[in-house]
Amino acid sequence: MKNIVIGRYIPGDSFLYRMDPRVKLIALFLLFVAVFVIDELWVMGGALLGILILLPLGKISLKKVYFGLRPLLFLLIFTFVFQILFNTQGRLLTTLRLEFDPLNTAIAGGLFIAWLFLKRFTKFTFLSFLGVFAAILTVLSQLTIYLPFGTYTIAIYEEGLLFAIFILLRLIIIVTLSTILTITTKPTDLNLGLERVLKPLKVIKVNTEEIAMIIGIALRYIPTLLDEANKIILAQASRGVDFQEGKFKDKIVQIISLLVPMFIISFQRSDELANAMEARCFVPGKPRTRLNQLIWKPLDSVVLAVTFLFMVASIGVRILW
Amino acid sequence: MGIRLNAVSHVYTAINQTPVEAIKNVSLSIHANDEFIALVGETGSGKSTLAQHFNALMAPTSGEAQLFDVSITAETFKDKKIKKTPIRKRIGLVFQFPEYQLFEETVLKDVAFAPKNFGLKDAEANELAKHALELVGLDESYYSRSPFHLSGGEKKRVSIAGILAMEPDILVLDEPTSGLDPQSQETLMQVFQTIQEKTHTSIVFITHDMNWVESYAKRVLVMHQGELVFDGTPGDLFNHPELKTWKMDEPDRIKVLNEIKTHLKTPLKSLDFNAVIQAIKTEETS
Repeated sequence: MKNIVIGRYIPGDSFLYRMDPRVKLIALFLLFVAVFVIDELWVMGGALLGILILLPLGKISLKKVYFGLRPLLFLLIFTFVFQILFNTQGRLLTTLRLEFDPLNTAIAGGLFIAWLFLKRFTKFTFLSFLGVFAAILTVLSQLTIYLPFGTYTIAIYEEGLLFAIFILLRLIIIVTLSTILTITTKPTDLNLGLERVLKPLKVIKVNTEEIAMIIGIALRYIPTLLDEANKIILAQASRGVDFQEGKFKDKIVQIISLLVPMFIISFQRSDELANAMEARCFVPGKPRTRLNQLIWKPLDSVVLAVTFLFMVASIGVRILW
Repeated sequence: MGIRLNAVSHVYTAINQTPVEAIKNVSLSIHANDEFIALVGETGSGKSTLAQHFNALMAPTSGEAQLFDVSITAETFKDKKIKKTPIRKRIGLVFQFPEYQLFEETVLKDVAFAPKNFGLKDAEANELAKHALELVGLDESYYSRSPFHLSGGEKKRVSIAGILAMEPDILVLDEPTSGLDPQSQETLMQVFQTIQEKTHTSIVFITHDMNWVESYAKRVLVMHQGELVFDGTPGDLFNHPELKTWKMDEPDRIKVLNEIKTHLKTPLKSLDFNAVIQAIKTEETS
């Protein structure tokens, strides 16, 4: 429960931290456009290289970015594998013929189950999974003795491989860019920036201040509610609820015993907050001054110009190449 | 022996990455029978953290908590083979705010929740629940009411009944009287005393009110900045020279007697109402 971190801000100091949140958001948007416009693998590779240079300049360690990527690792691999397996354009590169017979299927299944059991004790779960996966493929393709009941041929085509790498690079770039934003920007600053960036929408009667206020309150209450959830877990554990054990039927009761107090406490908290805001004469929609004013610095203009140029360049490459 | 803590410390990491020692090197033992202990200390002194070590909700980061026949250390706490729920049945902990535990549709169902968790049949659990509700002074008319439509004091009683229904050997109460009117506070403390006398259950209660300490507790534990600074009788505590440095206060009775003492010419042999009345009478006649 304590490991849930949303919008992981890590204190630090570099030009990425000193930038105005408005500029960060706009720059992120421009770079996203650029990344989606790029359609050449070598340009995409160049963009990734650019980001890899940007990281040490902004004093962000690769490890932190990896932690941002980790939850999406499954998705990345999934898209990569699917592109390779099902894209059949271009030159055929290699094929791998898998033959299933009772023995090798059993060995492959055994390897997988062994990995499931052992993953708790090994440190590099993901690396060991790749190893096991490779071993399963080898077993299935090489160790065919008798009575194969099915075959499957994995065929890898040039286009498929290149496109898979291209998609992978694009996803990595997008996630890394957003991770940089959340690592270097406090949620409150981000929210303030968002409010200012969305301000033009006021013309079409979108209440941007309220949207920002809602996001801000939601962000503010994540740690509080996690804390409350923790207290409820302890109080119910005191009454014999074992959250780690139990049959399916027990699990449902356990979750209800956690959710009902959680709901009630959340409503109580929001009621109290609404009263506290009213007691301080908060009127929705009234013009308001800020404790922390955003200041536009020369750095911000430079960053905005550079990212804008990058976007224009990527559009140019797309049209002219 | 019920609870024995050997040099228990609990350190957690604060939001700015600095370690905070919630409790430091606490050693104490609580018998499974006939104890009536008050746990006092200023806010933030580690009382609640200590109480959560009593029923294995928290594990010491160093040291050992021997809870009946189970030893809880930083290592054994993580071991899933060592079951913690049996400990929690024998050592019941009531939290300060009832909102954190009430969830069922009716009061009776909510109180019967704990006994059911420990594998009792519905009928047996309901019997225990009814008995527990009777102990805390809630009659039959409450059985089918929703716990969320009760007053704060009634919720508190339901939450206490919810733990009493497990029939624990040791009952730990985190501020059982907070948020109650004076009359209910007195009634509730008397309920605990009755339970203690009838069943010989050991009771540990956290409080800020020295009057309860004086009139009910047989033994007092004082926490100060994470350390256990006093373990003894209430009488010894109120005569202790460091009472004020621990941010503790004397109970009203002793304050009154001390006030009268300053106005008397004759020195008192002992500090109780009889001695004071005697002294006043002799001064009036002379």
